[in-house]
Amino acid sequence: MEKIYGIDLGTTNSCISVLEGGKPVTIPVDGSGIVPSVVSLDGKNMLVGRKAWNRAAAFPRQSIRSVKRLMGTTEELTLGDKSYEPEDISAMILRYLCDEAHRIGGHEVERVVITVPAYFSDAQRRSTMEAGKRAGLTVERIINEPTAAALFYDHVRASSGDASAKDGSAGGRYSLVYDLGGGTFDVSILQMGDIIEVLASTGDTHLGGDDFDNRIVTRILEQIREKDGLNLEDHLPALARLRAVAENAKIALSRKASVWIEETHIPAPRGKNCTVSMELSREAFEDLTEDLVERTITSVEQAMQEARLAPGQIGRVLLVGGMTRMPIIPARLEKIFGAAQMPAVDPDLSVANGAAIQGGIISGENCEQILVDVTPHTLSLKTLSYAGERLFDCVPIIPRNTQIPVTRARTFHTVVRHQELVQLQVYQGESPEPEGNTLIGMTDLKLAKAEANCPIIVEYSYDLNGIVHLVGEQKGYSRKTELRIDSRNPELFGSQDLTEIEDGEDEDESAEGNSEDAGSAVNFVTQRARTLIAGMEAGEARDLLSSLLVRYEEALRDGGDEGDVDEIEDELLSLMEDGVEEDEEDDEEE
Amino acid sequence: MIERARRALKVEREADPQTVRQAYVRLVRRYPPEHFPEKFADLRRAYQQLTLDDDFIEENFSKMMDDPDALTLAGFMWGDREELDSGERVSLMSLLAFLKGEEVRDSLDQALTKAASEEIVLRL
Repeated sequence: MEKIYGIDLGTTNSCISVLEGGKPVTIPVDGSGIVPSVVSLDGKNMLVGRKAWNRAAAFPRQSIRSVKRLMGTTEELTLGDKSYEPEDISAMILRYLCDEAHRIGGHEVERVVITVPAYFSDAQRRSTMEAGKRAGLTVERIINEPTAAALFYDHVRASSGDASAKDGSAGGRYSLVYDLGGGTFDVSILQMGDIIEVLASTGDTHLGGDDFDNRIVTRILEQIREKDGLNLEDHLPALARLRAVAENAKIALSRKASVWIEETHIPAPRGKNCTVSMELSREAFEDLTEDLVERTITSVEQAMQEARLAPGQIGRVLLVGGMTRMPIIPARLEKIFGAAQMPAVDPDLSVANGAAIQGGIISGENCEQILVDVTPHTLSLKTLSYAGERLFDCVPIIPRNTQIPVTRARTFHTVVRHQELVQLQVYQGESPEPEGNTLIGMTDLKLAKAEANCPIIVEYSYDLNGIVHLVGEQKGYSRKTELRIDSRNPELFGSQDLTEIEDGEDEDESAEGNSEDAGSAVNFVTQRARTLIAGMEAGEARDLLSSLLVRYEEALRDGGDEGDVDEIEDELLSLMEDGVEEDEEDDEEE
Repeated sequence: MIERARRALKVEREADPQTVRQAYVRLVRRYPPEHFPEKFADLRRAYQQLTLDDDFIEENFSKMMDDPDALTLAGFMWGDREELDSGERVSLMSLLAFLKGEEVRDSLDQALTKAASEEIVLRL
């Protein structure tokens, strides 16, 4: 079976993992597996990862870091004499990870699952998929980072034989994932058990370690201004150096109560340079960044409210992202949830490992864990609420935190007789007014002549990749329009970027996925049966099991009578138990 | 509609929430969203409809009343507000009125009437 790799494409660091014998393993690219998300142009060579990171402080103009913050925008980035889109830079990082994984593991990497912050918008998700495509990869799925971390944690617990992993007791039932990375912050609340359900997800796509670093940079700049009268705020070479200095100081402050920031030959304009020497205590750093931490706590409270849970109901708090190493983070969360609820998880590798598990779910290699995720943003339609006054409302069609995949339809009505068309405008966001939300797609539905108040059915689908599909239909006249939304560039709506599809055709292979491959397992029963059959010798027993498995899979796909499915499933399970027992007896005889 | 949900999850009329949950989890494990997205959506809807218990309503009642569009939550509770037929609207209304007394009936009544005769129309 061809493996599906899991990639955590982070703001500061990236990571690639794959399932080996059912367990996720991080591939040690750049030594540790933690690969800086940096590219740097060295003459004609494009460096990526650790080498690029080493070069970035000295050659900021030839280097790009934190490109994740630009995903979903059309900002142009220049390296040497060429300009790039954010997707191109992300594609270089992806390509590097996959090439290195190939070199280390010996297997070519083609199919991947890439993680994104849960709070990423549709545009940012699409941009991430596009990056994968430009790297020559098949992106099987875009999944949410906190969900991936929870999947990994659930896997670790289940395989360590912790009985509470599977039970429904109040203590272990709900988990909260707090994910503070280099550039983004997410919080998700999940209900654990035989199926893993996300109950609420919120966050801030522009809050992360970079912001904490910048606070230190600002502090250093102040000192330089006071001491030397130099203003380095707009001097890129100095800023690049100081950013690296600040990041190191921040990391050191997670272990030490205080650090000395000593730096000489900081480049200044007109060939000058300056030095800095200052002490920064952890306490002072925490003061500088208190508002940032409090912003995350506000999100945590919001998520709790949306999941309708009280702190006492949260059994576990999982800390993900390098920034959670700052002692203030666990300390602050302890105040809300108590200390006992925080198991140790690897804050750097959990997300990629979880993505590898998701890869296994898609390929059919892992059917034990079942995951149900949610929409992070409300999807609405712009409508005219009162024809006379021309007031526009956003009417929600899929509210946020709805479990996916989901399809929802609402009926609307035309305003005037013989109305020629309706413009279907899809908005994403929580505001009741269009101005407060983001327009992510738009299509016209040309109408057949009809009386006013003619019903128009608008259907939105949110697929497992978190991507939006729209169908608009004039009821009774078989006039129909479909839209797959590319929301990266709202200005281009109505031009070639708008993909209108004729009835029933869907060419988006990546969104549809390859999950329906005839050969792959579809649930835990078929997976166990397949494993068993693979290990059996040819013979009557094997044939019997195989034919029963075929019947079972057919019954599942037919979607027919559950009673029949039950019957075949029982038969299959009992036959499998017999098979296992026979194997055990064989072992004893030996 | 409730009857259909019971059939989908194969639970008895008097099944308690825990039994409903078990039935739901068992079937979702059989039909994971990954490989059976439509079947999963049906199961999900059935589960939401059947778990519309009093505790849940009590818990969310104040939030519901603060919500300018009370129907959003009502719709969520019933799985899909488009499917609320008049009978269900009435039963939801009387359930809530029973729980919280007469004064809420008016505001809810308004919200429901507004939705029923929804004058939301599309832009020209």
